[in-house]
Amino acid sequence: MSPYLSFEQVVQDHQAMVFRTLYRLTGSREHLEDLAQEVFLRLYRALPNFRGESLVSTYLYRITVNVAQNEWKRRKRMDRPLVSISEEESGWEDRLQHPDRNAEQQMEEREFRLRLEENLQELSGVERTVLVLYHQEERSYEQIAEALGMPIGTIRTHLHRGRKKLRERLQHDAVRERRDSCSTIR
Amino acid sequence: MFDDSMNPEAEAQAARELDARIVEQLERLPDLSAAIPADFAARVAAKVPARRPVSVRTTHYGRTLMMFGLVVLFVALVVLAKHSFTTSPIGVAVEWTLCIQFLAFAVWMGVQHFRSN
Repeated sequence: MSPYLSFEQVVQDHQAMVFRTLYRLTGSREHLEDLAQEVFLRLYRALPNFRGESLVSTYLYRITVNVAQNEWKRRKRMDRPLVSISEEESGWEDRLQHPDRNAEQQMEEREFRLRLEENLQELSGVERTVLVLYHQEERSYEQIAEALGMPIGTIRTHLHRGRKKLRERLQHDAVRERRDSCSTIR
Repeated sequence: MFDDSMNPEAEAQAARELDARIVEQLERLPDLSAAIPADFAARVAAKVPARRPVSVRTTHYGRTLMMFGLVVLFVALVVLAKHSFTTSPIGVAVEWTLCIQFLAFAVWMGVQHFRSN
């Protein structure tokens, strides 16, 4: 097998993971393809130095996080707020609705998901990254620590802190919504 | 979900439920199959720069030098043998030294040749 074909196979095997991680980290479908392409080009450039000490996937997570960080900086420089997932055309949220739930429950769940995604984008970059890698990608503490180059204790702290912030913000949103609806009724 | 009038137990229960919902949503994989072009892998692979071929041309500077050394030693031995220099102890020592060097070179080259085949 030629190296050219094997690289295409590597891309094929990992593209879904790279796309969904970038999507959650950047909070937008905008430039997703360009960013994913950048990830794989960086991987290709790094392959001669890759000695197999870690899995390709761990290496890819590291590159993906770096590319996402660059994207955050680029958006900051352009003074553009992060595009909320809820403002974009809805894709996966609508398709994943549970068939046996009533419309109100579905709507409530959809709103909760959108609020969660918005609040996720409000977290610090490292907290968001740790949450996404741990929950969405099901990486272990060790793998996340290796991918981010941080001690395991720090990863645990960021994970705990990130979840706590998300919970507090969602609680705060829920209380505010309740108050708003009460004042509207009055 | 949350109310200011909630008692601590109910509040803790609501927090646990909220945590579970957060985790459930975070674990849900976004479906991006429509966002990934079918030929994405092929396009990326086509964009990677071609690697510079590694030079595989072998050089034989050492072997050439050895051959040259052997010839020089052989000529030196012949020249020494023709002269009466070898009758003196110094001459004998020089001739033996050159002879040993010649043999060492020859054996070393023979071994290298054997290994390469």
